[in-house]
Amino acid sequence: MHDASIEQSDRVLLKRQMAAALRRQKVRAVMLVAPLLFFILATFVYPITGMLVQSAYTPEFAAEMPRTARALAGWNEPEHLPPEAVWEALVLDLQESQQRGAAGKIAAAMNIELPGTRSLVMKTARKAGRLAPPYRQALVSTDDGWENAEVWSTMKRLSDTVTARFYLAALDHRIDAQGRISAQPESRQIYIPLFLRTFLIGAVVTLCCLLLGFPVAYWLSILPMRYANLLMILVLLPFWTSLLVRTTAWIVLLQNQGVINSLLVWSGVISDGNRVQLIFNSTGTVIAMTHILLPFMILPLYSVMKTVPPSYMRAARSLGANQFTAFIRIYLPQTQAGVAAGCLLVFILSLGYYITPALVGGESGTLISNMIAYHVQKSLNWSLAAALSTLLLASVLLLYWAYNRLARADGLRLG
Amino acid sequence: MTVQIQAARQGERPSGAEAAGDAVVSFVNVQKTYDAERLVVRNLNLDIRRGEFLTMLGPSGSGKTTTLMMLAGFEPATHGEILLNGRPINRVPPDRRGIGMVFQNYALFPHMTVAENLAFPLQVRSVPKADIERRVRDALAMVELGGFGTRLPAQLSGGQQQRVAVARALIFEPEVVLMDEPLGALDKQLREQMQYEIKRLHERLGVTIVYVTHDQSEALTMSDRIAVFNSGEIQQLSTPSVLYEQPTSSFVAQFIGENNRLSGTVEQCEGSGQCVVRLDGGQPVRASAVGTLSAGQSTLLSIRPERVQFNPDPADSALSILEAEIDDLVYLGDHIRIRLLIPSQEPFVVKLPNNGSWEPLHKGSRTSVGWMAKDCRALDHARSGPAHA
Repeated sequence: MHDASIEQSDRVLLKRQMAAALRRQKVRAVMLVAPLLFFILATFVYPITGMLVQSAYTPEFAAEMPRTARALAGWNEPEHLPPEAVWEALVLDLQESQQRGAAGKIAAAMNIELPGTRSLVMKTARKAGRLAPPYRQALVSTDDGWENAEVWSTMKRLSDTVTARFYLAALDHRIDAQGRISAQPESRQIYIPLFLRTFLIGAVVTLCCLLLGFPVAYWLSILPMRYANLLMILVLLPFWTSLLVRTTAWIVLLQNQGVINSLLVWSGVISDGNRVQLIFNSTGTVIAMTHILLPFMILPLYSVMKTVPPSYMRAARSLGANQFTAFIRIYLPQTQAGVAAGCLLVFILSLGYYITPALVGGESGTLISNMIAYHVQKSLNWSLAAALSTLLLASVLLLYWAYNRLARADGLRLG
Repeated sequence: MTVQIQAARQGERPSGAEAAGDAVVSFVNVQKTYDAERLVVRNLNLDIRRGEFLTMLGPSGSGKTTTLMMLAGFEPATHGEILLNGRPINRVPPDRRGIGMVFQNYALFPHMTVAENLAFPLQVRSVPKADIERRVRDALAMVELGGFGTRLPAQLSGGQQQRVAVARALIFEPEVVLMDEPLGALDKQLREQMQYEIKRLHERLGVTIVYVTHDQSEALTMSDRIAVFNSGEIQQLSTPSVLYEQPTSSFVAQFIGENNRLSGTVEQCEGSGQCVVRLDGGQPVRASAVGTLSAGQSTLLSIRPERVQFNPDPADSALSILEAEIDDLVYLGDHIRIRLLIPSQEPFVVKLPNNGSWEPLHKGSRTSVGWMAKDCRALDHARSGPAHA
């Protein structure tokens, strides 16, 4: 009988040949992907990583004020003022930073942690060159703000290069002078309510998109191809219009003197004095975002529904199920993958939505992304912005992970 | 065996009531158009008898599937009435018709196990839980799939899925079960086995089965009666043997089994039902006339290859004999397929049993073929081929 197995030496040769063939394939694959990979690394991964690092790693103060940072490391009695050596280090550091023109940066960093300290630092830095020992007296006579122990503990905190304080701030917690972590008083909590609102509005938008998108996607999937393509263009039309134009159109429609309100007044549903506030609040955000994100719901739904053969519904009907039962028990479960994918997509997109809430959100319709933008552009507290971004990113990843865990059982994984 | 040609004739009938009789389903003057321009089903009259296995056979686009869909309730008839047990069902939705259906791709619900699939028609009918369990078990045993209840359809082979689909269509004990090319996706061997199993189930349960296929051998194997569809009309409705041996139109002769066609003109008709036809090449032959033929009419002769005698005795006066030239010989093991050229006719095929007598034959040699007049049917030319209204 012929032996089908290959001789040992042949097998080694075969392996080598195959490896060579595979190597060529791999090289080609890498070459094809390389430009995009480089682009993404340079424009996405690098800056985002830098941003995330900034949320917990703050070497600036220690680098600008090396002597002070070193001296404060040995000071562990936040209730009392530090010893003379620390005062001396501060003056020397301030002298140098004044010469380098870096005092403003330090003052800004201080001011974020302890409001009101900007002028203290700036004033002292200007006069630092003329101060003589004993420095404690010299500093206090310059500005008695230095007699406040909290200023020193703030500086001690700032000289930590790795810190959790931005994350704490992002979760409405603070570290007091004694290093204790406590929740902000209710009246000063900003971020947690904002996160909750972001999730809530995201959920409402997702639900609205599902309710509006499902029938459309179903209709598209059963229409003959040529009509379906035409309607699909209508669905995609918002994609091709500028986001700004669409959002502005909503302002025109929804504002107090806008089309909707005028129609309602004209038809007598509401009186002229009771015009409904439809925009510049969370209602406006939900309406405008639903409109903008609807295609992201319809497309995955449509692509899944397209693959559900009509014979399933027919089979269900022929087996005695009425239209409703057939829909609920046979059709709906088969569109589950599309529903899940669409909801996930819309929800994640709405969590990070910025322009629309910024334009139509008003006070009650702004989301966490607007706060991040504020810290990036206005308050220049980039570390806090980075911490907020990281928390947002983490919640999205968590959501995605949860989705995949749920989906794994049903074979609906996205990736 | 009775010849059921009458039922297939296309005249308007005054009312469906009289047709009911033993019929479980009746189509009365049913028409269907999708675009208001072309009739997919034109004036269909058909009685389906209780307990029979009726096959709708025809090429694609002949209207057979549309007819089935109208019966199932998925397509409305644009004219005429469909009766189930004498009651019109045109306005009854599919789920109230109580007609089981096996789909081409089985349409087993992919998110339900086999047992859940089988239980579905019972659940929607609010059958008590214990009954459902028992009937599902019985149904699985019936199609020899006991123990497969917890599997998903995707975990079954094509043949097993097919059986589940059949069991699901039968489990709620419908009077009529429709099958839309249910074996199309199976390979040949499995298809033959399933043909046998479906036939066996039909005999055991006595249910009425309406079966759609374009495979003529499948239709011949399984059916009590076959309705041959073409261009939206029933060309002929008969038992398999009548359909094969006594086709009433050239289309049916051509569609079912292999067939030789010879075109000619009727020269003379005799009282015995036989006639003399002069072929387009000039030779006179005898044939049995089908329908009304009169002298001078053009006609198509239909002869089955296995009824043709090869190199017959020229002295045999009962035979019509034609000269021919061998065009091709195909060796098929048990028989030899010989293609012959007859002047001004289509190629003519003869099947010669492999008894060694073919060995001296070769391409180009001259020979002759002959047949009995009773085996050669002269068909109305107008009704040959696809009808054009």
